[in-house]
Amino acid sequence: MALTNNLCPEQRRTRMMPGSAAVELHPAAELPPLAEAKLAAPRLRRGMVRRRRIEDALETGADAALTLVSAPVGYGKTTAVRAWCERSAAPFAWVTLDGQDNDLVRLWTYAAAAVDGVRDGLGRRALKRLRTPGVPIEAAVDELMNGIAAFGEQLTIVLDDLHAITAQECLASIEYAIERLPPSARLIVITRADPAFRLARLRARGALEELTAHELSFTAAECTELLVERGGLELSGEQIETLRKRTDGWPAALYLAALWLRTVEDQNRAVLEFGGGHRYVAEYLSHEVLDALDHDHRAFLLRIAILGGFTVELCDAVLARTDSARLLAELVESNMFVLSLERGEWFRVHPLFAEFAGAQLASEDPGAAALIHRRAARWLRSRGLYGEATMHASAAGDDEVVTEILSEHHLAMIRNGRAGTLLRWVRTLPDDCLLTHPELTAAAAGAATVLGHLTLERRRLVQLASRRKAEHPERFGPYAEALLATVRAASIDCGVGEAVAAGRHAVKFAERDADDVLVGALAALGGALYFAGELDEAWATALRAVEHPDAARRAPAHALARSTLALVAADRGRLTSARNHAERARAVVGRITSSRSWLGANAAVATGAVLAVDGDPAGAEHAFACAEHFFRDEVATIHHACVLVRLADARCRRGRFDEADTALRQARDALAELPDSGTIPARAAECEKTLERARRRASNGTMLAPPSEAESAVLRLLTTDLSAREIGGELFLSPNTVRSHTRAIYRKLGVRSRESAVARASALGLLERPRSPR
Amino acid sequence: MRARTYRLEVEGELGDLAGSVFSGMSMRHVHGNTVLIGSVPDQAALSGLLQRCADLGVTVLSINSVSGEPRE
Repeated sequence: MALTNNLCPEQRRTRMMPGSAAVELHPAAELPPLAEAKLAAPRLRRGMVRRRRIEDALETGADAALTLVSAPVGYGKTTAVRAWCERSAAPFAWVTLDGQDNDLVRLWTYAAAAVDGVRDGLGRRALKRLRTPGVPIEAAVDELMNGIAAFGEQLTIVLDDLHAITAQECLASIEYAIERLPPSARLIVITRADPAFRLARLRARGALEELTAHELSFTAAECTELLVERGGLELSGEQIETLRKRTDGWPAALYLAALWLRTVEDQNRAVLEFGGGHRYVAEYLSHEVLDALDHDHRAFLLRIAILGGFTVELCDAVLARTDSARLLAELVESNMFVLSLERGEWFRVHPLFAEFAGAQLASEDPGAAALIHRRAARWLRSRGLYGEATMHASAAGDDEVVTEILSEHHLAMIRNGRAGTLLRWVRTLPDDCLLTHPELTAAAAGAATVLGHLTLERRRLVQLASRRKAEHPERFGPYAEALLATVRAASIDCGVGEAVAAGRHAVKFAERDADDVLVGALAALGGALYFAGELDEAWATALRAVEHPDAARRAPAHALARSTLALVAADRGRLTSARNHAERARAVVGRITSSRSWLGANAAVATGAVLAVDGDPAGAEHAFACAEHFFRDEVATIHHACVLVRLADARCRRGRFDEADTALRQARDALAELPDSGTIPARAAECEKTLERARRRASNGTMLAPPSEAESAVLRLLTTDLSAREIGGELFLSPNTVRSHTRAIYRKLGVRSRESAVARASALGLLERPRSPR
Repeated sequence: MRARTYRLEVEGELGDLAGSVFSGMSMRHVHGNTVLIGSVPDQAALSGLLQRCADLGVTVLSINSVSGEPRE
């Protein structure tokens, strides 16, 4: 049976990775504790149907880079893949994913650790990269692929429950890995829903094998094996067919049916009634199977089912009993949908069965679930498994406990690229909890800032924290003070002047009493100073941030400060330095969040500024357009206004006057909504003048002669980013011919550069014909 | 975004246990299947609803936005 563990606990009692001593000293750089439960495949149970045709299908698919086992819950996906792994006897690395793995570093740390478990050292270099701040995730994936290639033998990597991964950047990184998988390796993905991969491309290349619910449904022969040969039931062929039809060959329902029929006296009548009924099979059968258990086993199973993943120790602690080991062994033995995992002492209840058991418990004993979750949270928290503890505390409705746990870990979460997770938890909390924990509220506002597209949410959180400060200044510590001021400085929600003041305030408090947030405060102040036009001080402040000994472990602040340094250097024409800082900014962002975030947008602006100075307006336009998209939000922000002006400028240089005009107009609209925008209105005015001049210049004068037809074709392609060679490719001309046409165009238009040629041609209306079809 | 009323038809007759998962929606059995009708605040809630169906292994037959309040 396929198993999900939405509540899969992690276990710290694992092989610690090299260098973990240093990690322990700096919680900011802490990696998720490796859980044996996550890297363990389920044990195959006796009494299960060995499905040779499914194993054969997996065997024939061995040449494909990717095998997709995609079917709803209860189709035996995990079991089938596990059985094939055993049969093929080739080494395999198994990772069971859950919702918490929507986090690049965590996801690939588990994957690399699983590969490393096949043979020590295979994943070591990748793990090392994952621990190094500023290394883009692709580099770690490349290292992992190198490790796999060096292994030389056949290797299978299994990602179970891939449907739990919904973050776009995580899916993209897996796709990246699929493209680079060495021929000796194959990836098997087990999922309830097709992943958002570009499957068509893999399919076309023959690199994709698929197993779906259609194949995984039980055949008549498999039903017979399950019910009669293994189940020991005396059923006729007709009765078996009734059951198969009624369950649609759904394996989970058939297993339940086998358990149920063993407990009824008149099997003949039971099958007949079941076949004629309409009740939803999984629910009906779960209910029947649970009811047939003796009181003790039933009560135990109903309660552990809501835990997700668990150990004997956890069950004993949560249920206040000492015989969980015996009960678990008996339930596993009788195939009661309780599975033991291969490593460690972990167990899981099949998710489908757990759903109905949970509903049953809720109807019988409404308070039980909350108590179990509360105790589980306490147990997990005492073992440092705060992610899982938070889930259980939240399920118990213990907002106070959730608040406490998050308050202890919020900085580490933001710094380790888990800002989204932090914010998701904070959203579940009532305002009362946020008011009494202003440091958490301010941190959540910081998380909303670095993620981007959440301006209104950030403002609400800042307001809540500020309210606390006004109402209870005595309970508003220096740490909350510094953090809140840092967020105000970074977000520039109340104007540039206020942001600079907040930034100075944040630095002052951080220096005195809250050293932990100093790098963030410096980075935020540097950014605000840049908008204020104080380039010298912006440079010095951002430099202090990146040179601080903690900078490497303060990724968001580090990325922001690097972006500011790149902007200042670009404004001053110091190209090498600007390029270096912009690249570092991008790399740091790549490690903790997607480029579509606010931090990513800042790095994109820095990149665009470098390209603009470097004489690459096309590249600059592209970078600014990306940044513009990432900054866009429900309300105007200064960052959005600023990038619109830059975009207008880049478009103007490319002769795209109308589009430049549109961007400029949007910038003005945004600026009209904003208080005190520092140097941006002046920049906008300057850009407008440049645009007017460029338009005038472009429409002045006449052509010496109209371009020939061939020249017109080249001219139209000059508006693209294509090189002379690529233009030649488009038009079936040699690059030299393209160059000679280009020279002729320049001469006729009286210009010296590609950009001016496009600008002039645009003004003269030479580009209005549709482009030649590609 | 305003809340919409959705009508969800799933295969088989859901009992009280499965029904409790869809609390807040009206439930009735029609020709051996189950029709659930209820107000869904936004698209995130709608995909959560479909996720609940997937968790229960329930086959969704149809889903429509219906105008007006649920009658049941």
